[in-house]
Formats: sequence, C-alpha cells, structure tokens
Amino acid sequence: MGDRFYFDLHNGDGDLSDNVGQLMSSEAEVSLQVARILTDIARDEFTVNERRGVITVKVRDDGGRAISIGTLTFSYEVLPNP
Amino acid sequence: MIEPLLMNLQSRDVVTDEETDRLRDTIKIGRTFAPGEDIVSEGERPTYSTLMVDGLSARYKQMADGTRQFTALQVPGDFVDLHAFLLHKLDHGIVALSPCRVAFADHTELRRLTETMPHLTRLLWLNTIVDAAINREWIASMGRRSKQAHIAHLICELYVRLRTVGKVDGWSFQLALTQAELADVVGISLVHANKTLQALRRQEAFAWDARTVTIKDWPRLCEIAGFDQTYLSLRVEPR
Repeated sequence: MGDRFYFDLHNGDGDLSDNVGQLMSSEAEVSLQVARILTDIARDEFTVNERRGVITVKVRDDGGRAISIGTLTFSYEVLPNP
Repeated sequence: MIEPLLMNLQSRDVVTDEETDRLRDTIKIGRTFAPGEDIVSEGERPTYSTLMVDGLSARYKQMADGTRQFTALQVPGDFVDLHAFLLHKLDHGIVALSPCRVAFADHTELRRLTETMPHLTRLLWLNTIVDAAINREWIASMGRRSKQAHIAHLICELYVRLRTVGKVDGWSFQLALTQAELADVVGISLVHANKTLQALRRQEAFAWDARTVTIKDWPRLCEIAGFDQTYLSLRVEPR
C-alpha cells in the first residue's frame, strides 16, 4: 500500500495543513502529486487578477519529517514602451 | 419501491395510472450494495438496467495511471444504466458511494414496454436526455468554471435533484461523499479540494458537516455557482 505522506500548502491566502495525508507507493508518485496540486491551484488562483504569485507544497512523512518541497511561481510584467 | 422514479418522471410530465402500473410490473426487487462495491463493472453486458431506489452511486472511468474520474452521480429515482439497454456493453463502471438499494428492469421487458407504450418510452428516453444535459453542465464546469464555482454548482444541482424526489429536509440533504470522492468528481487533487471547500465555507453559502449539506444562502450559492436549473427540464409539460 505504500507510506502515508502529508502535503502542506503555503500560498498568498494563507496556509493549509494536511492532517489526513495520502498513501503513496514511491517518491516519484509524491513528486507527481506535488506537481498536480501546484498546477490545480495555479489554474484557479493565477487567473484571478493576479500578476504574481507563489504556491509552495511541503511534504511530510508519517513521522513528521519534512521530505521534499515543490514551488510554482507566476509573474506577469508589462514591458516598457520601446 | 419505484416512488422516486415516479416523482422524477412526474416532475416533467403527467404519468398515467396505466403507465405507473406498467413500471411497477417492469421494475422488480433488486438488492443492496455496500459502499465501494461495483453496481455494474466496466465491460459488463448487463441484461437488465438498474434503478437507484435509495443511496448514492457514481459512474467512473478508471485511468491508466491509477486515478479515477467520476463522470456522473446517481440519486434515488435515477437509472444508473438505462443506456445499457441499447449500448449493451458498458464502457464505464458504476460504484456505490453509500449503502445503495436498487431495483432491476429486465431488458426483455423494457423492449416490450418500448413496443407498446410510446409515451412512457419517451419519458424514459427523456431521462437519458436529462443525463446528457447534466453531463454538458459538468463538462462546462470542468473546463470553464473555477473549482469554487464547480463545487457550488454540484451542490446546487444535487439539492434540486434530491428535492425533486423528496429526499431533502428543508434546506438540508444527506451527501455520502468523502473529500477524496469529491476530488474525483471535480477532477482535482485532494489538497485542492480541501482548500476549495475551506474557501467556500468562509463564504457561508452552505455548510457540509458529517455527511449533511445545509444550504444557508441559496441566492448566494447560485451566484457563486452560476447555477440556472433550466438544464434539468423540471417543467410538467406534454412530452
């Protein structure tokens, strides 16, 4: 069944601790899950009048040990007139 | 036993006594399914169609990477697979999400019904058309609504569908859906589902605790969702 991992979220509108976790069978699966979470949230939050934003997911194992971190950054800038 | 189906049909047209009797003759006592059990599995060729009498089930596609997408939810009064009558082989599974009580309509008897009762046939056809209308709204939600709007839309739709079959208590209804299952309905990660629900809670349009949803501000919820119930065709008129 794999091990249980917890995905804590940090972004502009506050932090969200994961107190349920999900079973993952490999580190590759954890990495895919982090990518999925980041892109899911980006689709909703970077499209609401945001010109920049950072979303971070920190992954903990069952013992509370931080094992990895994933970050997605968005920025939009108007270029100066030539 | 088929009362929810009758209420469903009666919300769109008048159902005669003869038609009611015929439905009672056609749809027979079924069985119960436990949560997590397949009511129909992908690839099966059922010789009967299954009516949800009590409970909640979902159509699903199992993806190659192990993830799962729910493509429809069935509440009491819905056929889980009336389309199997003509499709024969099912290209998706149907899983019980709560304890489900179902009844069966044998395809031979359904065929006989379609050959002798044209108006009742049209009403059953309408049922599958409303299923398709719901699918269209779900595609619009999936592609174009924010996830807050998507979840709010789902809550609005389920409320109206359950009210039609007498399964609401004022502004409350039972929703046996875990957050992981909700994530599989709206096609997002569990973490994003939790985050979106938390954001929705702050807007106080509805509460969802211990499998009970209570709508606190219907106009506000409809506004968040962009919900217009026209697609459910809940008008009694000749069909």
